[in-house]
Amino acid sequence: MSHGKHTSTASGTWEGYTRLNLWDSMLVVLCLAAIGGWYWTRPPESGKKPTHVLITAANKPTREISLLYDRTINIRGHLGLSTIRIENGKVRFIKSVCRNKVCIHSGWHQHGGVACMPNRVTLELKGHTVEYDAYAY
Amino acid sequence: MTSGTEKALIPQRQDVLIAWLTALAITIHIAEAALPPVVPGIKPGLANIVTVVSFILFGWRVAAWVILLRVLVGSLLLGTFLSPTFILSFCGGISVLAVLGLVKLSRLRLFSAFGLSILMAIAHISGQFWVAYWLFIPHSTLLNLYPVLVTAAFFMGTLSGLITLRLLKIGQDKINSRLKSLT
Repeated sequence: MSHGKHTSTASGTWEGYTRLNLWDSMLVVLCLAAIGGWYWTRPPESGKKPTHVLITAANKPTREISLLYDRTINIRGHLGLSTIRIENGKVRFIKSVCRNKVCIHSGWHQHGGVACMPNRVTLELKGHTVEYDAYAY
Repeated sequence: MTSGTEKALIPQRQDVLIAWLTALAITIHIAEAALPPVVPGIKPGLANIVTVVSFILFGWRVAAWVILLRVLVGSLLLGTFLSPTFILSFCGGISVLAVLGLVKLSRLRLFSAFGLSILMAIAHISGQFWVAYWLFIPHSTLLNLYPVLVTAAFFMGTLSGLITLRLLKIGQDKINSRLKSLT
């Protein structure tokens, strides 16, 4: 439609863009179907409380730490130190070198996880990962 | 030679046009940045309106200038230049341009401004998301977030799409008379 000069769009042609058409409706239906499908097929969230937190920092191997004991942990990330606090089976960032402190403001987390993007630190809450082969008394 | 240089330094009509559109986009961009984030990572993205209108009225090139200048100047004003925020914003802009490029190259006018708005919103968040995943946190948990972000983008795209349609309809006569004076 526009060759050479920017406004060579013949007067009137752009007005075609102001009318909703079948393709728009199809796009909307497709989006809604995809979104609905995703929520529909999502596995139901297990009601179990997490027992461990997986800590991944700036390409270092993931550490797994129990949520049973309250403690404060320093993590060295991409920019510097992030400090997390584990309390009552919950976890939060309490200090971070990052600029916007979104990780800190997001508060306590009891399921799912939380990440500090600038410092590249992720915390993921996990249920029991230990599976026993045998019990011995 | 001299005349060539002089000619290059005089702002052309199109430069002024781009400057106006960019100023508008930056204003919206910054006003949004000032809003308290209800959910981190999700914002209305109403500057999308300016992108879509630029593309429809003036073509891909003008839209490209408006997007890239908005990302650059917006980040300078907000102090996020070259930070992760900027990189994400930039990549979002690039993917929007890629999709608009495809729309232009296909020469098919499938979608109206409304459909384009939704496409742009989803393109923007997708570009951002995959760059964030690839560059910053390649962590599988992040993938769970993608559908949520796309859902948000869809609704924000719908909102800005409706605004764009309304805007173009209200301004139809004015736009036409301005376009005529520009050519």
